[in-house]
Amino acid sequence: MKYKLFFFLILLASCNQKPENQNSYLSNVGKILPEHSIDDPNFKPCHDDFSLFFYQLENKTLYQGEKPAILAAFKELDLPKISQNSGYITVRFLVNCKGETGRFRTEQIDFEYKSKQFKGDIVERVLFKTKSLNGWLPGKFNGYKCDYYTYLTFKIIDNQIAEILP
Amino acid sequence: MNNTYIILLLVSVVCSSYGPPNCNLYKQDQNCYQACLLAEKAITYNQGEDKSQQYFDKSIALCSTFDYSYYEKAVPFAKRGMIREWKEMIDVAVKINPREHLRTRGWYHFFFMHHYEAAIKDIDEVSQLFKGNDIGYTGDGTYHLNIIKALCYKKMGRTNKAIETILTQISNENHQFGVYDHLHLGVLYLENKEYQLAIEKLDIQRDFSDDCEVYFYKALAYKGLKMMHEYKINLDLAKAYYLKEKTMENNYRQMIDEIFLADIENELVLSQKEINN
Repeated sequence: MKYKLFFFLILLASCNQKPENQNSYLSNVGKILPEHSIDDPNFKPCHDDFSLFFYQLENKTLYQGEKPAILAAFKELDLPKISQNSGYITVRFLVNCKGETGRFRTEQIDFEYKSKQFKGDIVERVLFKTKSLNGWLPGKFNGYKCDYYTYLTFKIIDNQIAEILP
Repeated sequence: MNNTYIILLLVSVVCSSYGPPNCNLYKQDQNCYQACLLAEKAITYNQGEDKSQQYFDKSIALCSTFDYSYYEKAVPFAKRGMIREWKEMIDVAVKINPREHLRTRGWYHFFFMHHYEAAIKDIDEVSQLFKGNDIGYTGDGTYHLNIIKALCYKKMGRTNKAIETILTQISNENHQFGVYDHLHLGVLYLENKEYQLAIEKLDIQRDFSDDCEVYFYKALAYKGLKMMHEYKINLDLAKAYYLKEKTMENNYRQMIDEIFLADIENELVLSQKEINN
């Protein structure tokens, strides 16, 4: 019990260092604001003013079947080989406390990390498949279920998925 | 200490200040001194929080050569999948102060993007900058940068070059072993079908971090040696360790050579077939 109290005090001490901005909590860089023109109107975050990032959660497993299940899902994509259609596609999104996903945002960059446009329909297909993943688990923080931001980055070489990060 | 407490500690680290600069070093230039004080203010807020980023912006506006603010402002972008923004900022920090930031850029190329060529290029440049002196470790202390280079070679399919790079690094009498150095070396030997060497290194790994990966890869080495009893025993151990959450772990991403329950269970199915044959 005394250890629990000790760690709780550490947590409190470290997370209460924001005297001027009590309303924001760890979610500014990378926070995805709703865009009604593109977002699924049925997706609702559980908490409008509280969301963490995946690496801040207590639960290590965030997807049923973990990384191998995600890899298996994308193996189903039969993408044609297109020479030099290479770089990274990142899909960032929000997982709510029920494990539902929404607010998907994509970014395409080359190996210098500069914006680019991939040829063909690879971005649309990767995004569609990402949206179809249904094994996300709610985040846990202080024992409670919470919303969290996460992302998948696809390393693309010649229009093929070489790796999926993180 | 159970995992809950470790996670709480990690969260507290995330929430708390990170790497404050020594502002007294900048007192000769009042603008840069003030910029440093603003950076100190920035890191009293949660990393990535608007207020924190705004103080870094003010700091940069006051002293455009204050590299720390570019570097630290960039970090949450990398952690949150916004690497384009990170790169724009870290490049400025590297240009101003390569000795301080090139190591981190090389590490992040590997860690966040698996961009092996870019990581090797930066680490090689660090070696040139340090002119034969030790180039140091990753920011989280998990790896010496030459071990990162070896892992890049591994992922590029250059197994022998990876082994050679690790052996050269760990033969240095000043090398401080990282948590997973022996594991990676063992797995490289396994990939090279040098099974006895793999088992030897994986056994040493247990003294550094006794995780399920040790037993999983030992199982595969025994499988290579056709020692099916040991193969099965180690797979069972791997699963038991996994279920006890004794695994390689990093909050930000999957580690090189990290395995998951499905990997063990798939191999268990294979082991049953092999034993039945």
